[in-house]
Amino acid sequence: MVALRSLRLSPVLVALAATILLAGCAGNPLRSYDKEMQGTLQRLNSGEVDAALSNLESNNASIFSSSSDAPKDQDGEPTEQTQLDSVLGKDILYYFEKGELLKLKNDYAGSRDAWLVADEIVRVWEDEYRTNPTKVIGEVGAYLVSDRVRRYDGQDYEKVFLSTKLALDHILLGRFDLARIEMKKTFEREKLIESFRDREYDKIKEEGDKQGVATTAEELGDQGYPLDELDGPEVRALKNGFQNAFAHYLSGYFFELTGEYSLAAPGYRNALALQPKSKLIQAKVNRVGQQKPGRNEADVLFVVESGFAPEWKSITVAAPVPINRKLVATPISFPIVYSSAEVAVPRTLTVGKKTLPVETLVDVDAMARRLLKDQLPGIITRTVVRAVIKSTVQYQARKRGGVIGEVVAGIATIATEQADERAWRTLPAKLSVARAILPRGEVPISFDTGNGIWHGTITVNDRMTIVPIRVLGGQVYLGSPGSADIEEIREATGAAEPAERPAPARKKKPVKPANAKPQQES
Amino acid sequence: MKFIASTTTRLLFPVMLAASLAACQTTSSPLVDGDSGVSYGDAKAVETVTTDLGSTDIQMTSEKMTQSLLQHPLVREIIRKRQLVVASPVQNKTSEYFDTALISDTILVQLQKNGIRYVVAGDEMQNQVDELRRQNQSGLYNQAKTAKIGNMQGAKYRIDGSVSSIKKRNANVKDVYYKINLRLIEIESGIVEWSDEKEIRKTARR
Amino acid sequence: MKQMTMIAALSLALGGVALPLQAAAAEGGSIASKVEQLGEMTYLTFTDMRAVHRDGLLRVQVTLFNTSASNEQLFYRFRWLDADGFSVWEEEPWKPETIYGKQSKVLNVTSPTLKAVDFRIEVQSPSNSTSGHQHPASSADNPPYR
Repeated sequence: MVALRSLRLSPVLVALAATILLAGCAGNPLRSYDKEMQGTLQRLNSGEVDAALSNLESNNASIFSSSSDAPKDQDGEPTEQTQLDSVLGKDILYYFEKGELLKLKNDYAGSRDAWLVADEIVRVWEDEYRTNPTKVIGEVGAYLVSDRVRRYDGQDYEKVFLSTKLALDHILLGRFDLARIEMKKTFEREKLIESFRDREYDKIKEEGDKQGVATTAEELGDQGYPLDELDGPEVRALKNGFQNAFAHYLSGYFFELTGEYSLAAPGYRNALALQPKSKLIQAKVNRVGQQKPGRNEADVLFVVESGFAPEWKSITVAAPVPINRKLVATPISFPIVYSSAEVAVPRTLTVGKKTLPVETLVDVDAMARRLLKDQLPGIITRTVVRAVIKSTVQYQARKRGGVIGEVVAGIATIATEQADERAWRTLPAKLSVARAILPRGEVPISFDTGNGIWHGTITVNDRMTIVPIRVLGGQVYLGSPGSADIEEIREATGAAEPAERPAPARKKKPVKPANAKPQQES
Repeated sequence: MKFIASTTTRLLFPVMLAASLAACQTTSSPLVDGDSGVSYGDAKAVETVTTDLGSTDIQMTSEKMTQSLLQHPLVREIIRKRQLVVASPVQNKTSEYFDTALISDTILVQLQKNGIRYVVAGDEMQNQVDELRRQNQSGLYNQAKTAKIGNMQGAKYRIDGSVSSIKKRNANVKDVYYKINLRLIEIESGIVEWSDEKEIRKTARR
Repeated sequence: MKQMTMIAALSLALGGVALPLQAAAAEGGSIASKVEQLGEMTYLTFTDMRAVHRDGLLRVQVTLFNTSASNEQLFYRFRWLDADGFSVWEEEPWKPETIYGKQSKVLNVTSPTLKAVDFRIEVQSPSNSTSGHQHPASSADNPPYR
């Protein structure tokens, strides 16, 4: 244990240890994740990042060591191996949220390290699927385990977002070589998820047919499941629940500025396929490299994130379950994503003398609902088949007693189960971008937070400058633009940087504290 | 007779021995693998892992383009007159993250083996400029022997092109059609002196 | 099969309008001397092969016929040699080619280098058969694809 703690100092070692340790950790599947996160989110809404961080830490106090109620042997080591879902006693969600909180504190290195651990957990899943797809698909049929206690690898859109956010961190830290690798990974991940979902769908359908389960989402809807929540124009407009238009736009932006147009072009093209109406993307497709920043200018990308990702809730409806060749309406819990409250996305940013339109590229809220909509048939089949199998087992055991009531009682254990409510909550509800070529130096910026006009200053240093902005209620978190070390860029890219350029002003950003109150203007 | 032949084989092909002569004891290979499951494959093998552009597509395309270029009389003249060629970035019109420099680089290498000289461009240009500046402006070098600024040579011809694709898919089949188009352009006049294309069809069944 | 090869060889000798190959060509100029099969081709046969040295480049035209009614997959590549039989070009990539049932397929190739005066064509098909110890490397079990 002591040895493990000290490992925490080195992110690389933690990541390495993650793979090894996965075999020995215990998670606590029965925690109510959603409730836990409320405190953290409230603190963020009032601008207290540090308080939010310590709230997250206290919620995730190590369940790995003494506080765990898992049975132990005399050395204090757990005697039971539970579902593998954590690293050093913390699960992937902790690292998701921690990375996000540190990023809001402009601690990009810390944020990157937290996300790298989370990424390691996703990678374990990916490697499992790559090396043994039939086994991973087969686990889909491991129906005796509730969705809630299954290892949480992250929702599909979270996995893709994680990789995108890591790429962004790498750029903000000036590590263009790592950003490049991360972007490639994002798109490999998208393809992997696509192939996994395809095969999973086939497998679940096959299992459902075998058990005679044919419960449809519509039947569930008749029983009171709010299907409407999963169906809206913004949900239908999406191609799927995981592809991220921003990820592709970001790689378009990145490769355009590193001069690799053959990689920038597909970036914009893919982004447009996901967001066909975006003028910002349209302006770039087939026009890569036509608008270059001048010697004392920079191509600035504003990444505006608003609100929080929606919560996943559990809803209990009476689903028809075939028990002993009869359909019995049995109360079973299913997950549902409610559309969250409208979040404020500034319509324009005023930067210097320019007014820049802001376009939303990613609607996480709609993505979550789309993902659930696509997966609902699978979730229904999986849950109902589990109910059928459990009832059959009990039925066989008690056949001589002839008490059918006990069979139904057996199902009750399923009925009391709650659906999986776990989700990365500090993800934004919406991610929007604005982009402009601006002169280097300090530039004033202001925009409407939906709660008054907010004023700040950004420092534009490098040809590639990304400004992360988070709008939460009336709070604005302004990130420090990536001020990459010029030598590092050159090493990483073989550099298309002009040979002589003014030494970048290495000042710390003179902006207001990130959690500055907005100034009200009447 | 047969015995002698097999002895020769044994001497010449120790690796093949293991496969062909089961009766003999096998020799150990100069290999450390630790059961990793990793092995070296044939870099020239046909790769059909996915429908994305892959190694075989690059190899086949550059091979065809080189062969086609060499047949053009102008290229023979370029070789004879020792004229210079430069490769402009090949445009990627697909939605695949594919670095088209892979194609143009391979073609340049194959052309050079036939005596065509080319000059650096794009990313590599920066290194060239840096080195010239270092030699001439850093004050560290013997100025009598440095490479002088102002003597770099411009190319007379440039190679340019694009990669496009059409994708179709239904429940069972995914079909991708690629077209790689290359051109040789005289820089001064803008005249396209040569052009050729390579078509590739890849189909995957679920 | 045997018959086919014979006819093919003839067409090269008689109809081989231009075959100014030096040295190696002297061994008979038959198709068999130019072809290296990995295993024995079950359904694909060479019906014609001609080569000419023009403008310093070696141009080769090979015609293959698929005797079966179903599609056959072919993998092939050329080896370019100088007058002494040394390889003058890097190892070529294997190239896939689908030949439909009963189709004659013409492969038209030009040497990628000005130094080539002779060639070999290496062919493999997944339905190749192998008859004992023909050649140590020949095996139908290891097609050049993955």
